[in-house]
Formats: sequence, structure tokens, C-alpha cells
Amino acid sequence: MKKIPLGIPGLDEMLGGGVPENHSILVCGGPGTGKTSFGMQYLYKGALMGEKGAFISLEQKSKRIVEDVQNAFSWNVEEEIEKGNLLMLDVDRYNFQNMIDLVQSSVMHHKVKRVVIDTITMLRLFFRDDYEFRKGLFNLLDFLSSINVTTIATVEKPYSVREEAVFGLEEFIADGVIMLYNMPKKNQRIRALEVLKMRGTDHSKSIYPFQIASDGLNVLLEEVL
Amino acid sequence: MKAEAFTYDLGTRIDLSKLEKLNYFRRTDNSDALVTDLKGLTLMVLSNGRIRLFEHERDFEQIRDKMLTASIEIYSIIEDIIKTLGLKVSAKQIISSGRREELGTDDLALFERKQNLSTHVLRSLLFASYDLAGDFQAERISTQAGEQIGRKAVKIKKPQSKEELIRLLKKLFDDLGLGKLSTVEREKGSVTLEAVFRVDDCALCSGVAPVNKKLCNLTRALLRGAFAEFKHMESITANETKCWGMGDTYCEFEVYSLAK
Repeated sequence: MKKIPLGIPGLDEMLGGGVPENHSILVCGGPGTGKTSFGMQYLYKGALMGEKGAFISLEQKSKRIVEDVQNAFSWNVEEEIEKGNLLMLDVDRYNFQNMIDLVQSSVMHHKVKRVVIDTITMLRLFFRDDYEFRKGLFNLLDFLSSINVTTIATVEKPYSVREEAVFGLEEFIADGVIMLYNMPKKNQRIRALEVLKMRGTDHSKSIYPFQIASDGLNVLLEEVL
Repeated sequence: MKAEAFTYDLGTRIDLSKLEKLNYFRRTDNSDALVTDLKGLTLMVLSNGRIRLFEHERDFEQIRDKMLTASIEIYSIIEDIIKTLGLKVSAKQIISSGRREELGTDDLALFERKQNLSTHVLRSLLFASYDLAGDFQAERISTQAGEQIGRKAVKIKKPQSKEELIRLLKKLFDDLGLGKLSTVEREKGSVTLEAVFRVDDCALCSGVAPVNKKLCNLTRALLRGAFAEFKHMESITANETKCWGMGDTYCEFEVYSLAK
């Protein structure tokens, strides 16, 4: 099975080289855990490797995300956008069909191979009830796999530590789940992550700390929490 | 796919202009139908002799109770129609012809106007994709086809202004036989509203019984693709706001651009 590197040092090693191609992976975490940065790094590093990507933003304006990322990291995201290697797309937030149209157009017309949806939690607003949401989510993830894209979808969680983790129906449907934490240690917080689930491949079961520096996210494999 | 309407059949084509003297009917613009409102239901009389009862965005189970409540009025209207047209049938016979309307891939003659081969083929493909691939995939297939048509038209013709784009789209719809495309002026538009389009005699849905689905994903995506290509931006959305499939008598589409 072909693996797609996420472009996050340390995490790709935890996954034995990356995530299986055409899989849908959830990146779950509380506020400030680095979900959006994770998604942008996946696309930016992919663009540098010659794989076009699309960032579908359901919450923040994509222009603001680009500004924040340009300020926080040493990446040249705007250059990749200018070249057409990175599409930043805003969605009418209460219309599921429009969102799928954007994804489909990005993939079929612009030959995008990597997609980030930020955040799937907002998708719930498109549906009347949990049953419709589950059906819509399943259709979406299945569709993405069928058109040969590898997808990262972020999920907002109300917790920041592992002990408080609660799983929703999204985690059961997706092919993979990566959890991001912001754990208290003495008088500060430490960012950490674990791979909770990844169908089709073996993966590390340990929790590792990670840092967000000027070059992006970086998992510190030499430390185990 | 199931139509969510209850339909009676007069058994013959009729001249709707003779029924306009029944003052409770009104003619819908650009369509071969008369409608009247009946205790929350819509009663539509078509030139092919069918009398269709439905409620916008309601399925058959939900309208059945209203039909019972309105049964005397329905009988009375059918009697009026028979008398006005001089038909040699009884209202009782027409009432007994009533059935829940079912659509299938072989059921294309819901609205017997001039349908050419390509319309039959197009609708067959549309309904077959719903039957075999399911709603979601069928919608995606139509969207892909429409988007490609819209983008290609703009790439070839290279319109230089929005007015030119709209003229191009009108001609495209005529040339392809998709229906009569026109623009709708909105008094209070939003800054992101690019255009509102109306399609009469839509090739995809004109005359279709209400199926609680908007059917014209190909048209919707064609408009979206055309604007996306014209403006060189992807954050364009197109929504179908009226469709025969939802019980309307024409199609309407709104095209918006979102933040670049």
C-alpha cells in the first residue's frame, strides 16, 4: 500500500512513512492544539513535493489563515498559492452541497491530491440530526477516497488532555485518527500527540511531545510521555 | 425515485385556456399548467390531462391527511373541470383513477410536450443514475458533467464581461436544448450575489412530478463552472432555489462568489 508522507517530522516515522493513500484521517484536538497548522503543513509540504492541495475552510476566512501561517512560520505559502499548487477555499457554511462542489472541482479540475477540511465539526450545522450527519459524513469520506485524494479533516474537541477524551461518531467512520493534546505539566503546558487509529498500517502506540517552531510542527521522538 | 404526488387522469389532452374561466385557477408563467391552492395543497392541471396534488417539500404520507380533509373540494373541482371541458366521464371515474405517482427510468412521458430524443436520453440517464448509484453519487456525476460544460464554454469563447458571459450562457442553453435561460433582477441583492437565473422548459425537470429533490445539478454546476472559469476563482457557489422536482413550475439558480 502506497503511503503519503504528512510532511511532519517524527509523525511520518510513527506511521512507518506516512498515511495510506486515499485514506481520510481525522486530526482531533482542543483549542490551540495546532489542528489548523497541522493541516496547512500537510498541504504546504505536499506542494513542495509536487502534490497539489486544497484547504477547505468552514470556520475562519482562508485569507486570515494564510496571514497567520505566513507570520508564524518560515514557509512561503503565498508562493505556492500563486503557482496554483495550493488552493485556499472558503465555504458557505450552511451548505453541504457547495462544500462538496468545491472539493470535487478542486480535485477534478485542478488535479488536487491532498485535501484538508477545517473543521468537520462545523459540518454538523449542515444537517438536521445525527443520522443525517452520519450519512453525510460517510458519503463525504467515501467520495473523497473514490476520487483518489488523501484527506485530513480537523475535529474540535472540548478537552486538551488524554484522560478527558470522548469519541464521537466521526472517529468510528474515518480511516485514521490522530489526537492532539495540550497537557499541563507543572506550571506550563506541553503539546503532545498520539496515533489512535490508522487502518491498513502499523503505527506507534506511544504519546510523544511535539513542538511548533518556525519550520512547523515537529514530533520529538526522543521523548515518550 | 418516487414522485410524492397523488395524480388523477382525465384520459385525454385538454385545452387549458378553457379552464381559465374557473376563477380559482391561475396560469403559471411559461408553463402548460394551471394551479390552485387547496387547504395547503397545490392542485395542478396539466395539458396532458393529469391533475396533480402535492405540497411543496412534503412527501406523500404527509399530504395524505390533507387530501382527506380536502376531498369534497377536490371532487367539486374535478366536476367543474369535466363540465367546463364537456368531457364524457364522471367525477367518480376520475377520482377512482387516482394513484400515487411513481417515477422510474422508463417513465419519461410525465409531461407530453415536444420531447426530442436527446431530452429522453438525458432524462433516462438522470433517473438511471439515481436508481443505480444512489442520490449522492448521482448528484456528483451530474455536477461533474455540468461543471465541465460550463468551464469549457468559457475557455473557448472567452467572454470579456459579465454581460457577455450571460449572453454566452443564454446561447449555450438554447444550442444545447437545456431550456430558456433568463436573468432575474433582485431588489435587495447581496454584494456577493453574481446573478440569479431562471430556466423555463428545463430539459432536466420540466413537467416532472414532485420528488422532493432538486434535480438540476447539471445546470447548477454548469453555471458554477462558467462563473468559476470566468472569474478565475474557485469560491463560487451555485444553488438551485426552484425546481419542478420540488413542486415549482420553473427552475431558478443563484450564483454567489465568496471571499477570494
